[in-house]
Amino acid sequence: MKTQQAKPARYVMVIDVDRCNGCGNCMVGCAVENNVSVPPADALANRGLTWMKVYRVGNDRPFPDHQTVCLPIPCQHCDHAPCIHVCPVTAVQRDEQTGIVGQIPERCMGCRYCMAACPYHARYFNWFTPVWPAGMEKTLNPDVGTRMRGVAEKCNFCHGRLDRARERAAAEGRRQLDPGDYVPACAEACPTGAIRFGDALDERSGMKDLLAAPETFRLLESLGTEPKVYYQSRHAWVRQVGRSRLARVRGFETPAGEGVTHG
Amino acid sequence: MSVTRRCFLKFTCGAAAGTLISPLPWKLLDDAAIWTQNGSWVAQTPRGPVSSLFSTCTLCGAGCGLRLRQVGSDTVSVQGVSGHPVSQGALCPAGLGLAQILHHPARVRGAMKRDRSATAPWHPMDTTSAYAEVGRKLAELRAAGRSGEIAILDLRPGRSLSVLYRNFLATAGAGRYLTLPDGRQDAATALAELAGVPRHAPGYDFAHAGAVISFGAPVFDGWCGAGPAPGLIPATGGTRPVVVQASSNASPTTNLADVWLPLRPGTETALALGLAHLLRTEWTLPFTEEPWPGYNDQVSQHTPRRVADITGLSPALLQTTARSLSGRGPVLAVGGGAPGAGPLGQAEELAIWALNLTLGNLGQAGGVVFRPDLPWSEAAPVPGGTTSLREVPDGSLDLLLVDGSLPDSPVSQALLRRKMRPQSGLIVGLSAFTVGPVAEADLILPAAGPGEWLQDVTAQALAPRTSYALARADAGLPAFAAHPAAILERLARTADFPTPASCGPDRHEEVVTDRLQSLLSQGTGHLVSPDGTTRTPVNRVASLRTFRKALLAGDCWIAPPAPARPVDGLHLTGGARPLFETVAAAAPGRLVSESADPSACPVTLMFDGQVGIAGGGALPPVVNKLRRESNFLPAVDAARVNPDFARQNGWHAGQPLTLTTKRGAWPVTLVLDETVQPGVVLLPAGPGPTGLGDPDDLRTHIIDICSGTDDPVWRVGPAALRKV
Repeated sequence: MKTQQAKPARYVMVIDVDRCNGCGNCMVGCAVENNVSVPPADALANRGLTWMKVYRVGNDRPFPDHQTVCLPIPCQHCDHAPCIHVCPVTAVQRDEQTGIVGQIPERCMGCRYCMAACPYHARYFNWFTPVWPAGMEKTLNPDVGTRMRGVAEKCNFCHGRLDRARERAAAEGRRQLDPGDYVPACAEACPTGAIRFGDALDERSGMKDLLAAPETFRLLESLGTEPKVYYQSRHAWVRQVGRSRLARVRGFETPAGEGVTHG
Repeated sequence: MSVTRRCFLKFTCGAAAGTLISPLPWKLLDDAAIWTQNGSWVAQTPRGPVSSLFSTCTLCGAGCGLRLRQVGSDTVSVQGVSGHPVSQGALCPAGLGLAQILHHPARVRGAMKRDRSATAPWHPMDTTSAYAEVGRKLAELRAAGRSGEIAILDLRPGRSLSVLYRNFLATAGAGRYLTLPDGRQDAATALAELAGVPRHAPGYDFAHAGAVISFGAPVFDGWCGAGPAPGLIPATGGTRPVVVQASSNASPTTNLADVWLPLRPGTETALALGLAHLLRTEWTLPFTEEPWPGYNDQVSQHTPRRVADITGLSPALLQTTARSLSGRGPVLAVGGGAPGAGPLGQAEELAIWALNLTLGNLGQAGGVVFRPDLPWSEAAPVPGGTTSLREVPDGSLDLLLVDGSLPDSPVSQALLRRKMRPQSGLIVGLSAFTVGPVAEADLILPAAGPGEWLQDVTAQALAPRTSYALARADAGLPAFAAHPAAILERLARTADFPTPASCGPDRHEEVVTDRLQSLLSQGTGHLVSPDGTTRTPVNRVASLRTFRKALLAGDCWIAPPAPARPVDGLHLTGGARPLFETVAAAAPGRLVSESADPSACPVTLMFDGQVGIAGGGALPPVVNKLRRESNFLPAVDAARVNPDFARQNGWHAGQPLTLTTKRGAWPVTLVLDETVQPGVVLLPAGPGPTGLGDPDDLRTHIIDICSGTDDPVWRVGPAALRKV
């Protein structure tokens, strides 16, 4: 019997920077969904895990002409991901069926080459054995395993949700997912609708128009990494910062793992 | 055949090399990796049947819809519900981490006591002894005819539990029922004090407004619940009202607003009067009636030039703004203050209400609507009366029971202590956490947390629609905690009050049932499903049982839209003239920059804090984690100052400075921030990085140590900064 194969997808995220109010819901929603652990209280600030991190970006003009926007940065799921090429144990893989760049913690040996290679500083290292306060293990997401100390981890577009969506679709006799079947936790938690997500190859998702909009841009485009996380802003200075001057963003300039204490 | 040394070596090396190119070592490595990641030291995720259900959040009074995902009976995640009739799918960071809160390490797991000092450590106490101690005190006060010195501070009035608080005070004798001052509630009260119109609660109808003038209210940042105010974020391709944000410092709301008016701190009254002046001249509004004597004179005097002198805004900007509002439909002026930055003063609120009157939007769609009342009386008689905590005479209370709800705004701890008798006053918290006003308690009785007992949620102040919802008890009550009503009943029995059952859990159930019956009997409004897809008229609901079942399943009762009640004029009540004098007095501005320390640089002290978090914990660990690990929220001792202002004074980032106010001096660390107005120092309000209500947490007491608690308008005040 010939098996009908699901069509390939190209999942993309479009973040409307002008809509983001910096509430941090995306960070919390992500951490809850993916069982991201809480480091010890005395840990250095940048030794924590934030698969999705919101940065504040200013236009460097004096008050009151100063403008600030919030820039949420998850893993960019690059088509030409540097982290894939540098991993010596193939713990990072790009799924050809979805375009999602996944991390396989069981294979990771903790060399952190991927962190050094990632120009978006979107990879994090488990410096500590993940521990939750007594009783709180009961609140962990059963669809996502916890990671151990000594491995790198990052956003995977909530792959557990993709699996659930596929299971639901299969139970309904569908091979293809409909738009809205699969939405990452950050997009779902965003109260302003700033984060939109969908299959760019599916006309019904509306992503094609968003990607073609003149205010759409990608971070550090000149590197040629071809990220699948897109941003939108009507402010030219925001687009300029995102495209080529990301290193100026406060907090972004410090590579993860270097010793900077929090206040 | 003999085995030579050479043969042996060849075989061994060959076997080793062959093994290396076989799958065996790699399989072993893979298994070892899997084993190390599934050992007993790695946290295991729960296993069991997965289900999902709907409920209502009770962390604050906004009543956001929740979708709970459960494994067995344990909630593993909380999400907003898209299309929810109240929250429209939004949820705040604390709400997203709601499942963790009940397992918070700082959860009160038994009675605790400490010496009469908010900085003293807590000591565990036998629960029976704790009840006996409080009961003995209650009995003594009652026997001595001093039951007027018993009070309950209800942090969220209007619930069924509030009725039981009142019953408890009634059975105690002459106890007092107290509420906390709240900016949004104060705004509604200001209108109530002006005229006879607002016998019905006012609400802001953002969804039908053409433009919104916000006087510092963070309308895009959780001011009316999580996320933007309903109607201010349209669907893709839709439109929203034009938003003019008047605030001294930049914020997420100013970033998302169409126009930002960066006025000087404390000059909102002048701006409101000036806009009224401009609207009359630019729009030639047919406004003839004077809301109160002298108002029209004040408006006439507040020409663009005068307002520019006071506010620091250019006359051209004011005129352009006024013109830009014309022809857009209803224009709504919004006050109320910000939870993190403090409430506006009464004068500012009155000036804003008068501006709404000038705009002609009172009682109109897209303006200030007057919501129908709920069909029950909120005001069960309390012998000792109902009042705001601030109005209680100092040193007049001997026993204060503090409700365990989490407040929306930072609370003055010193204000609470000042109301108690100096030596004997006892503050008792009925709470699951040592946060908010309970942080000032002397003794804590462990109460159930969110989701552990059935609660009802009514529409919060200034919401456009009246609503009612139930928050189910899906988490189950832990052995160490008690239903708040059970605590009241046990205290009443211990103190030999006449009718202890009138404030017990059974009575609570009856009150909820009575309320449902009242809604059902009234027969108006709709029962709306959590995702907003199904609307059932209440008069078609078959029975009380069906109604209750639907509400427990996450449905919401929503009242019909507020009827248009145009208000032509506000008629003065007895105290209105003094009220107007406060407006006139505040018009020149509240900016007080006299130096508390002549040797230091005078600055204007302001506060800010994230909405939904500013009021205090208990914050889920995941929220605390992100607050610590992102560079998004300022550190505990961060004094944010404009870089140019810092440069003028020879300060640099990270420099330790001393902040001086009339209440003392405190060490701070300088943080340069271009969003802060020159001359202003911005301090973070709300809980510190742990969010646990630690006694030494500077932010817990920031309002007290940096601002005068006598002044209800703590959002702006004089201070000085100097080098250490």
